[in-house]
Amino acid sequence: MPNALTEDLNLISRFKDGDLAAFEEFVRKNEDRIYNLCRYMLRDASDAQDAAQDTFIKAYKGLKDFQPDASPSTWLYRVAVNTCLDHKKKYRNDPLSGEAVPGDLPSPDPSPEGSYHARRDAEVLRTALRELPEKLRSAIVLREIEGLSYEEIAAVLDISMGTVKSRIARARDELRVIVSGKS
Amino acid sequence: MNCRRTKKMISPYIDDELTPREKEAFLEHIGKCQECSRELEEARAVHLIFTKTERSQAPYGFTERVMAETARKDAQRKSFWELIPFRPLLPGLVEVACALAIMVLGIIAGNQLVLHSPAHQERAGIEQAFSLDVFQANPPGSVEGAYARIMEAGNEG
Repeated sequence: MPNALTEDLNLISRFKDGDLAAFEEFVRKNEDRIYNLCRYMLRDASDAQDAAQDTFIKAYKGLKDFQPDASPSTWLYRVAVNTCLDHKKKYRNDPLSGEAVPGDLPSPDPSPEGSYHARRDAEVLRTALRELPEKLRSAIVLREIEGLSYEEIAAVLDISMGTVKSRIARARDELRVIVSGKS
Repeated sequence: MNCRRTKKMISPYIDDELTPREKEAFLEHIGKCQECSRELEEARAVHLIFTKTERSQAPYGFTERVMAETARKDAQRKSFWELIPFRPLLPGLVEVACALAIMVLGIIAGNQLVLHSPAHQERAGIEQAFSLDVFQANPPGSVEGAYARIMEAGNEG
């Protein structure tokens, strides 16, 4: 059975040969993952949708030069993280505008109580993450939200393993203080 | 193991990145130290929030919007290209323009090299030496020059 890496490489290869449907499939396959990352990197759902959309538009242009020896998911994560960081700089002082974006889709947990707790925890986390410096936030989100290994995070952020460990440790320490309510 | 070192190991412990030996020393200290134990529990609580928190799904129609935007940008790029006159000749015109630019730069550079060459400097010096512009009828240090100044002083008086 082909794994996710092989599937992505096949889709990219077909897209480079001019198959637009392959790119659409690539987007559909990765949209939740990238949107989720942007949701935790940025302020709200509207910003996250903009950044996630920009990520795939950059991917549309950039995949033509993609080298098959690289990992598509690492490459896509890197584009997404950089897009989120650029988005924050660009829209730092601008009020939100544009089409209304529906709120996040509900958690698949069927129990209302479970869904409520999951949403509340997500909001507590997002608020705490917003207080972290961008470098620490991107490292801890890739680790805790996306489940990337230290090696994968180092490849996405283009930093050393030692720096990854240090940023994650510092992020956890700051979050611990924020969440436990200490100054 | 001291508290400082133990606290540094809390994060890799949560990620299961400690060696067996490090883990043993870490847990031994945790068992004896209330402060480090408390910090470990608080770090675990944050990690637990991450594991329980919901994952967001992309909004409905997200992929369709991405495809529409990429199609729009492609159409924009094509129409801009079609606005350029003499499109088929453009590559050839660019080549000619580059060749002309190289020629002009070459002429300017060559001229500069000649102007600043030692041979040219020497010739310019010789021409200046023989130029009538620097010829003075009554140089200041000569008898004629002194006589001319006396006459001028006498006329003014």
